[in-house]
Amino acid sequence: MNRLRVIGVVLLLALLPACTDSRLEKAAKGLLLTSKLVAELQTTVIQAEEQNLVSEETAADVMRLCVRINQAGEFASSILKTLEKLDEPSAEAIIAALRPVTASVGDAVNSGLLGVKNEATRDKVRLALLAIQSGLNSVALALAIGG
Amino acid sequence: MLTAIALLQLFNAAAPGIAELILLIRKTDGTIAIVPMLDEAGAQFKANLAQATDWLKAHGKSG
Repeated sequence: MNRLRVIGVVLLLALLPACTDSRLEKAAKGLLLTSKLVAELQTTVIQAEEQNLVSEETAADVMRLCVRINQAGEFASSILKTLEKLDEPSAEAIIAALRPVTASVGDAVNSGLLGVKNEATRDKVRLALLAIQSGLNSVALALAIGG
Repeated sequence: MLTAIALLQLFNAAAPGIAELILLIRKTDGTIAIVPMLDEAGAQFKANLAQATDWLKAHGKSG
């Protein structure tokens, strides 16, 4: 939990001061960052599975979660791209799409990732998931409270 | 010591993303084009999705 808070603070500190006053901009930055973090996580898990550092079943669980994150991220990007100014129904639709995925990422972190037998790999996957969770939360926060 | 290691791990995990973000923000004299940023995010999510679904199919885990 403490790690989550630290990552969240780091991400928000990185995002907030540099932004202009646009909720749309903040959400776009959060989405772009999240997309890159998911790419890193997938690469980590694929390589770890190839090296037998993680079971195939656990790798599949993480990849299925990544599928859901990517689908929600793609949905959010496609909606935001059509907007010149953020409207409340669009913001609510995106937040509603991100919420269950963000919760699932949190569940994965809290599960302890016991299927990842290698400790260093487990830490790497856990950190990546925490960073993704913070990225998704930063998008939702930007859409909900703006600046 | 463990806390210091954990903090370093956190920094190392978050730094590449943050560095990219800072570079992104500095583009075009501080003005940020939102649509290209969303295009890039959308394309990255799409590529990630293809990679993940291909991996799941290849391992017989797509069902």
